[in-house]
Amino acid sequence: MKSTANTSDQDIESTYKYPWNKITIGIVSIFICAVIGVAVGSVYIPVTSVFFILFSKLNFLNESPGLTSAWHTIIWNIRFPRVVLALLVGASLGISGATYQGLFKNPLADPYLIGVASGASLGATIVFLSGIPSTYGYFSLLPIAAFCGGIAAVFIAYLISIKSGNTHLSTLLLAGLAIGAFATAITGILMLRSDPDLRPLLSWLMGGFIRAQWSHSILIMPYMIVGVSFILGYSRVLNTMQLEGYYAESLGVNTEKTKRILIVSATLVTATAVSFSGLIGFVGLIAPHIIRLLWGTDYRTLLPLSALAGAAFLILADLTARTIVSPIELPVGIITALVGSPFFVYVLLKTKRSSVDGY
Amino acid sequence: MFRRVLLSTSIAFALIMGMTSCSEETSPKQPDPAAPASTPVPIQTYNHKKILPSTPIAAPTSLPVIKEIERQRSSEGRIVQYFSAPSPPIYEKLTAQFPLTVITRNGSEMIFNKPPERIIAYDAAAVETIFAIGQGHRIIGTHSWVSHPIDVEDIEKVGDAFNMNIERILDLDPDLVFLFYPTFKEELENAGLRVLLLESVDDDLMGMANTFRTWGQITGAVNEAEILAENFESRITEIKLILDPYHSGPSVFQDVGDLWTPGNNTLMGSVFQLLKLENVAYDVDNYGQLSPEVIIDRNPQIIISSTPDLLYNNPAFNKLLPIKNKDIFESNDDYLGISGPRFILGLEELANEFYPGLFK
Repeated sequence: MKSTANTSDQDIESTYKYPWNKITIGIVSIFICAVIGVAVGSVYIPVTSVFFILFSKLNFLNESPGLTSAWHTIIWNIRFPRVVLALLVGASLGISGATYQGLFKNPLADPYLIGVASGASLGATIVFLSGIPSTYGYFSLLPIAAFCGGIAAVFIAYLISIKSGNTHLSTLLLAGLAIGAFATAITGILMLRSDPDLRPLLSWLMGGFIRAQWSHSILIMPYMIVGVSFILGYSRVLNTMQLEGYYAESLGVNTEKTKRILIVSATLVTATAVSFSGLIGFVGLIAPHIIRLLWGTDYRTLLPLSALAGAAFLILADLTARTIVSPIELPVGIITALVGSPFFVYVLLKTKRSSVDGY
Repeated sequence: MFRRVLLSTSIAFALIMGMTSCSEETSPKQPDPAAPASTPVPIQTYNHKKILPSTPIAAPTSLPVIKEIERQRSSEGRIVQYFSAPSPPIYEKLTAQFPLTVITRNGSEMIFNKPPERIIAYDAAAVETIFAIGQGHRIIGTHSWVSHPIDVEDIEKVGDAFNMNIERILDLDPDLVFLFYPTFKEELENAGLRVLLLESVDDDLMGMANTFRTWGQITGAVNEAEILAENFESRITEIKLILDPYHSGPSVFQDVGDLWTPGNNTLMGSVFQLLKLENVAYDVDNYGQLSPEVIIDRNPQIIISSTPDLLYNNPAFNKLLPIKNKDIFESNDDYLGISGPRFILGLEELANEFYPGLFK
């Protein structure tokens, strides 16, 4: 609690400077990751051609010498939308992970803990197995169903915690776990009682960006922007909430209302991300922790930087997943866990500061 | 604080609107840049339906007659015959020999003193084979995904791919349990049942015929099994002979869901090899999820899929010819998905589709 007490002192003195330099570092490194992500892939395309294609697409250049239309398609319709979607999903998972951790004062909280993931899986499974034709032109019903499932799970958990007369956050956490387990069980029953060909569903559940298209990024952006804006807007309150409830209230924070807004925003962001990428574990857990260990626990810094770290991490993880055993792809979740956990342990060991401090 | 939220939201919306309009302008209307001489990948400009393998067609020879497949229900209700004609006289009459030794998957031997009367056949291909040689009355149980022939409706389902009702199986008192996956082998054996796993066919097309023969030996219907196997083999040989004068056919990509595709060492891989189709997943072992950019780079002239809508709707693929021409071949998973007697139907369907006029 020591460090949070310090930060709230800073609040009162309002000596806090927005960490523009760190944010700049983050944005520059994301830009570098994105360029690498577009330039490298299982089909070799010279870097100069990659830039020619990008510039000609952005109307800076009209000619594209020596390039085939296959390369155009690969760069513009496969790699670029894929990197952008990985960026958005990574940022969403990173920032909502940090929010949940702060909200629940629990270092293990991640976007999937309060039933979002299980609810989303259930929604997707129901649509998939119901035999409703799930694609209409550009647009697939699967992500929408996943989104509804995720939101519904959290909403039910929230109703339970209100009904119990105890809106303490641990009640919400436990209710979320129960709902999540229930949804997982229903998903299992549905899958066992269905037609044999479950491969598309299973590979969606495993997570990945193999189907990434421009329309996906455009569809998730509005939800993401609304959710992230609210989370960032309330980041100062999240600092105050690290104090005991009555203390926060004495500082003039309406904790109940703030909790509700933050839960809805973080869930909105997570469910949208999950709906197009499937379930990608570990990003929401480690991105905020790494930032916390490196740069402290002030949520005004932590939230934007977690988003940037999550985005960079997921772009690189997806790059690895699609190139390491080329021409085959691996599920990106394997890479996030395989690379993420040792790196996380390294940071944990290298930083002498106790990680339990910062919630 | 609310003002800050509003401000950032509106700025972000302005940004996204800008991006959206930008991408709408640029993405669909961009004309194809003219491909100069040094293009690494030539662009195919013809429809696969019109192409034949590169060598000219050989002088027409009289084609072997493909026997009509027909299903008949005998008076006993269960027996299914695949061939309308009685067994052709060219074969010597074979007699079933017992005791019979069958080599199982792990190389050990299983001895049959008489044909098993109560078989639990936990595999669609085995059920189809046993019915095809007229021994369907011996099957007393199978799993819930087996749907062919229609007679399996009356056979009890004792589980599905994930679960097996071992108590019910014991209650049915079978004298043979045939499995395709060894998942429940030990449990069943510990319960005192005879469990058989045959060597899996893997990528060996002709090996399928030998599996038919093995079932004939086990059930005593050696002649019927021999006819089935000979028919299967001759139809494959026929395809092979007709395609023999040709070098290579069009390139092919099969999507079995989410870009998972069969590569080498798969039954479908062998089918493509037989049909002289060049699999774009030639460097994939078994099944793998092929990278979309690799598919575009290798530019398949034929695409086979059971879920073509997903491919049609992905703008990344809309320059591939089969997709541009709305010409994805929808495969019949019932035939090529089960390595039983109907597999040859799926194989001939593919041959006729991709080489129209070449097979009569």
